[in-house]
Amino acid sequence: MAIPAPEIRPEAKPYWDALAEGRFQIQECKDCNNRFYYARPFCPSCMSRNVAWLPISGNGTIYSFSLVRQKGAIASAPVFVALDDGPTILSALVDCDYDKLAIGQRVKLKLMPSDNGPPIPFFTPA
Amino acid sequence: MSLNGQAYIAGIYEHPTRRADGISLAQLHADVAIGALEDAGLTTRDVDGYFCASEAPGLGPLNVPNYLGLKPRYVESTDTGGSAYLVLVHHAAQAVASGRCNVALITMGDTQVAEGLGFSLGGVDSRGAPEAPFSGPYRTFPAGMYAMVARRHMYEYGTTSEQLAWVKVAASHHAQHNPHALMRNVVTVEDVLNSPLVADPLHRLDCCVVTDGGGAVVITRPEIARSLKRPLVKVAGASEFVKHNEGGKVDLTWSAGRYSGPRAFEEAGCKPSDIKYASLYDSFTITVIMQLEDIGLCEKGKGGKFVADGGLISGVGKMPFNTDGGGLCSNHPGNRGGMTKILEAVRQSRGEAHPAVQVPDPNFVVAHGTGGTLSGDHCGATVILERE
Repeated sequence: MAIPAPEIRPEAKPYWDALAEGRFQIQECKDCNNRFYYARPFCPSCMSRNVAWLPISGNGTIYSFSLVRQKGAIASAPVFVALDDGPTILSALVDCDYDKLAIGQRVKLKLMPSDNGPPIPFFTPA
Repeated sequence: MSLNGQAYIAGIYEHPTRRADGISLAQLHADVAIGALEDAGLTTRDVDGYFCASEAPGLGPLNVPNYLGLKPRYVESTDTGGSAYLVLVHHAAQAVASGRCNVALITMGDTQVAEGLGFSLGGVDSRGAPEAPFSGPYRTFPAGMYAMVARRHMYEYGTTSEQLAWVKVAASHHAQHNPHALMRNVVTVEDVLNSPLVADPLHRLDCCVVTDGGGAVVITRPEIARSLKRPLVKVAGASEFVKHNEGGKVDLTWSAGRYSGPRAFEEAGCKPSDIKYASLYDSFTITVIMQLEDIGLCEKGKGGKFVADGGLISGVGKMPFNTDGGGLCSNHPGNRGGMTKILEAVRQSRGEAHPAVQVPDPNFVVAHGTGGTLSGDHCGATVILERE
């Protein structure tokens, strides 16, 4: 099934533009060093507007996951990935052996095309 | 300012329907309003405060008063998803306690199953929701988002699918006595485990029912409550807390009840060990275990053991819960379970639950709800009732 294109809002355009160029970025507060996701033009920890984009590896570990089933088939595999470089983020797993997934498993970024939109960050076993 | 002693629940009503064919949304709200006012011995002319959430028809605080003939001087339509009606009990009690109104009416009702809209959150327009572009592409589904809490609980504390199943088993034992419950058949742990996986590790029978219906609550001042002919049920304590993932500091081992629970107990002047009955939000079985732990009814991480072997069954276990059958078996209108939680808590407090499930000496009871998504943005709301 095609991945629907996300609505691109002004404050998140740099995030999506970078993905289109193959770079995965989170944000970092230059005042309190908080690294955060998803995109917003201020720090949700200290209110500072002094925030910068930070390209990261996209490597991490599975914090938790599920396999959503529809009519017996796996429709999606939502996951929280604890990124090596900071925040734990919501995504989904692709290209994996569903029976062998486990909390703590190493995963890496895999960009998936969306329907007439930017590539979307998914994860796959490392 | 404490509201303890300043506001009483004088009237309640739950609509018997579970699929509202042939009833308009406005009529459903009117039906439950009239039912609760009649229960209290009051009329629409007595109501001077009106409270509703987003599933109410039209612009609720304006259009429902018109339809019903109310003349409110205080209105509120806070929406926190399914826990909204527990938040509204808190806020209505606060409005009564501070003299902003004398008779507060809260209505809830949804007709979306009959309208063919069954799996959305009734009345919610998520336009502009900030996280949506970052979650929508992943097709997580509500069951998937709750399942991730269950899997982490299993990982951290050794909780099992059998223990989760006991929550449904307990609800089904209670639902058999409720003639209006959607699912009245008693189920076993094996039945739950043999039902299809919906979102690992959650099975179909770990999920709530999807229904239409609704209910209403009337809250009033002590002197008015004492003039009526109903048992005196005091709002002894209430609190809420919004939890979210703080830009990526995800910790699925606790929910918002961790903060709403203790504050409500402090205001009520009682301890979790004083609670004789608990209405606990039961969108999924894991929701119940999380809330039991977070509001202090059992130790963190021990919820699985607590619910096993009938721990939640009235007359059997330590903490009878959702004796109407709850959202898991009886009613979860609009995918919003908070109203039915306060209704059964009031029935228990009054001694008007079904005799087969009524708890003895219900001096203190609690209703706690989680609205939104347990693994994302959610609001926990705790209400403690004391019988006088």
